[in-house]
Amino acid sequence: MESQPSSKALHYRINTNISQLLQRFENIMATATTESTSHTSTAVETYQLDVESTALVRAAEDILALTRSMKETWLFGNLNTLGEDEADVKRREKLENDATAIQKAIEDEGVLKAAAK
Amino acid sequence: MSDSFSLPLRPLIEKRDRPDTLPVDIAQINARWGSFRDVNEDTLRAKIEEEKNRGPYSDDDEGDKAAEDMDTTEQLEQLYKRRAEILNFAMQAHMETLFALDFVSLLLTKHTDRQAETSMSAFLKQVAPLGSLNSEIVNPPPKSEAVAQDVKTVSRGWRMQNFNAAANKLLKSATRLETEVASESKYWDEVLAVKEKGWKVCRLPRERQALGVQYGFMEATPIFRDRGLAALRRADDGSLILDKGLAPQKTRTVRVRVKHHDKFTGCSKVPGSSPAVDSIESRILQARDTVYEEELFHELVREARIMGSQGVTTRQNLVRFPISEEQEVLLDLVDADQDTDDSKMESTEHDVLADALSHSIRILLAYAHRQNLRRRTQPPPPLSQKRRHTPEYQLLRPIMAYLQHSSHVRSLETFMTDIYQVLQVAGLKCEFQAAPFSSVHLSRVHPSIPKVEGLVQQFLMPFESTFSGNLATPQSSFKVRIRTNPAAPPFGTLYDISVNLPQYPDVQPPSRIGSQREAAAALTHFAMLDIVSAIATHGTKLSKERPRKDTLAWESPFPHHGELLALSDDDRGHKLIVSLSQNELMVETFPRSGPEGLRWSPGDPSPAVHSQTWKLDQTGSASLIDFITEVSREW
Repeated sequence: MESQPSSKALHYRINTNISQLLQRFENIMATATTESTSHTSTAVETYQLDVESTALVRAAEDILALTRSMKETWLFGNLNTLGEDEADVKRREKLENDATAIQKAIEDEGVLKAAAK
Repeated sequence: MSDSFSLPLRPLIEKRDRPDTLPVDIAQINARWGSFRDVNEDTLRAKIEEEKNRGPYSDDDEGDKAAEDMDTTEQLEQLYKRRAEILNFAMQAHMETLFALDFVSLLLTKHTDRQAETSMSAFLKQVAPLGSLNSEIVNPPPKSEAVAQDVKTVSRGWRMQNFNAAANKLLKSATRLETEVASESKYWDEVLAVKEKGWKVCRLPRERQALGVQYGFMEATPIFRDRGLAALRRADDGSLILDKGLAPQKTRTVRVRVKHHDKFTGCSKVPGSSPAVDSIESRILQARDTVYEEELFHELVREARIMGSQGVTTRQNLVRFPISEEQEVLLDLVDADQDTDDSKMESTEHDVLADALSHSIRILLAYAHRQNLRRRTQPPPPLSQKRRHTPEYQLLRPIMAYLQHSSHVRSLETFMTDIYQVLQVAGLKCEFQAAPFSSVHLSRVHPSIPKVEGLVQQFLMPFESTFSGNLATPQSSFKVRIRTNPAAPPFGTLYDISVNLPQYPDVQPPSRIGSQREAAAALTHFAMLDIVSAIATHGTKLSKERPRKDTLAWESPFPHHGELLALSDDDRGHKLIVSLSQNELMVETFPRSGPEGLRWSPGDPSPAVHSQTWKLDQTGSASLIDFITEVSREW
């Protein structure tokens, strides 16, 4: 069983992702301001832009993954596998009612006795 | 022989160990033979011959072998030394690479501090400030204005292009993520819907990142229990797919058919697959039903195998058991959407019976599941080496016992009704009570057991029905108990008859009667005995009341044959024969010639035979007592 992430870890992950989003965007903007003096530095900037935008996307995807894991935590967090939940209780009560009806039919109305005739 | 072979073979094996590529082979051949031109079959054969003749000890490799024969400790030492050397080299290379990396990183910090910083070592970061090293072309050739302008323009354009590309990339990713989010939320909506319907949603045990739904039965046999879990996968558009793995997708169900005189006269309802409502819920339900049905059939076959002694037979996909001589029940597992029926239904006469049976086996399987749960909550039995055999569930046995019992009770009741009607037509005052299934006491169930289980439990116990009644003579009575045991031997139905005949205190029926015919015969006999004694009693009463000479006093020396004898004044014997069957009672009187002969002799000239028959549906005839009085008086 993978351990449930603690709220601290979740907060940390959220904060990292947010700061990443900001930071990467800043970096992209920063490249725009520098004045390039040669083709080489422009090539480096190109590459850098690529890296930064990919990282930006990655941070966004991580947030999506985070929401998914949180949904799972919610789904399983209050999973009461032992005992009866509401549907079980309803079903059991219905079964009891049915059984009582059948018992009545057998005992009072003589279903078995009639069968012998 | 083997020695001479082992030497030339050894180098071959060693050669195999290292992968010789073709160039290496060619190089070897060149080194050994000079050139390919010298290598032909003849020289090779000659060489082989030569090597064979030389014998084992004159090998070229001998010198090398000696060198290899070093001490093992020496070898180890050498090995360690070499290893240390390799490690040294590797570490040195690593160090130098790091230096180079540091250098380049430091150099790059001048231009792109953030990226270059990540690849710098911590020490260097402390010692050297960022951007403290720069490289420039020494004495650059003076750039012309045109070149500078050109660089500026190119880099501007290039940068524009890059920003555009980055923007496109980001927007594309955003769209992708948006659809992803949409489908994800759709998926989760459906998962939640499934969960709210009460299904158990869990992680798959072998695939932690996937969700699954548990629809099977926790108490089923392990193979079927494990099949009760399916993955909830997400289609590309976010809709939910129920992934049952390799399990067949078809709906299968157990069908019950009744065969009467080799004709199919009843078939249980097969739930049709409903493709119209193709929701995830209906698909889960269908999967659950199929797994239940398959387990049901599995258990039926398992139980049928131990019931061979009771006439149950199994085929590959069929269980067959008889309920009576002309009826049998067939159970098989069919696809729900199988329309073409191989065996046509002759009639629907026994559809109700088939339906009842199919409901019963399902209820009994559910009951078995509950019993499994109960057993699991108990402390487990002691550990042992022996593998415990899972007992077969009681599915067929209870229904067979019920049907058998019911058929016995029914036929006995018919028989009793007939006999008693005959007796009543004959004017005898007697009656009987039937209490079918008197063993079923639903109110007797222990309160700690749930009502549902208590109800089923009553039908797994031995069935018992009782018949009781009085006979023509006062104080005489009889009682029949019919018992059928579904689970434990002795199987089958037993009749337990007890009678109370004050005139014949030592007459007792056999203790165990197994067949319906025997029981009927025994009961007829007792009724006949009772009539004989009733006639005898009546005779004595009659002669006491009116001690007339012409009244015969009947005595019964042979009651078991239904014969009564009387002597009239003129010493003429008279015989009265009582015969009783299910449909009629007949009383005949014969004159008997002399006291010595028991039989009526055919030569008697005037056989004054009086006879009276009372039939089942006859009305308005004289009663037996009147007839006897009449007959007695005539002489």
